Amino acid sequence: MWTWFHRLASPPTFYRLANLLTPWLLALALALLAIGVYGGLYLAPADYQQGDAFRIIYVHVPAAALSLSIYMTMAVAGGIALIWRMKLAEIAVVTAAPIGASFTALALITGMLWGKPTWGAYWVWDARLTSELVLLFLYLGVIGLNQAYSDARTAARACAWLALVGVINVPIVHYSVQWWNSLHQGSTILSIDGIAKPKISGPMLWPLLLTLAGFYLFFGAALLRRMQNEVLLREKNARWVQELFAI
Amino acid sequence: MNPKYAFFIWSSYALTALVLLWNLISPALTRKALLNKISAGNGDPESDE
Repeated sequence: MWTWFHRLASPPTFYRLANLLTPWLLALALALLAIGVYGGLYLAPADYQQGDAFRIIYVHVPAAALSLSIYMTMAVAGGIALIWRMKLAEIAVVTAAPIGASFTALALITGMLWGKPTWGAYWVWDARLTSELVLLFLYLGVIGLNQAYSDARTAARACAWLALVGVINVPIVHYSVQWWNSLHQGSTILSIDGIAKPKISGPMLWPLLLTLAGFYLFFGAALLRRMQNEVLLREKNARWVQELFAI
Repeated sequence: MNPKYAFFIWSSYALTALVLLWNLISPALTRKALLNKISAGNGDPESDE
């Protein structure tokens, strides 16, 4: 298994594997998103309290879940980068940050657009909203830190430290609705209780599961593409890159 | 769909589409620029840019 792991960590093997996987991940992601969004907008019934405004759930919840998962991914990759000094893990930390920042911003803005018709306000300094905003600042910090160093490996290691330190905010975001009084509703499916006894009816649930899966697969494809670019940039003088693009 | 909520719902979905598009287009443009640079530097072993 370790041999396979080390072979995968080699830039040329990773580049070729990513080339193979990305189109499939992307195609599957877009198909799931298309079906999920159609189901959410046209097939799911309106909520008895929130009416049609609840349909924002099909983009807000996947974006919010992804914002936390991407930061967790960065922290794990950061740990691997710092302990084993694996180049691909360093690359994963710095390339996941812009994707994570975009989905965190999306979660915040779609949350505001959901909050206005539901709570009567676009923004409240609630524990969930504030901790999610802190998460966006952490992502921006990683992006800024990466650009502050001229040496890519030093920058990546600094980003790995920030990813590891900042990961403390992830459980705070997730459990904020339980730890503090909050306007924000609790987890719908992302809890043990929620999986055993979903708090959402079947016709409303399946489009959400599809858009969730679609967002995660899309993240996989986007991350692989960005990692490929970074690998190319770092290895541009390596023989395998020169051979790959020899005219 | 209740027109009272249309602005909030469609804005959310339009923003989502923009974020997904940006995540597709941005790496594609970077890749294109990078491949041009690599191809241009192929005949020049001293090239480090």
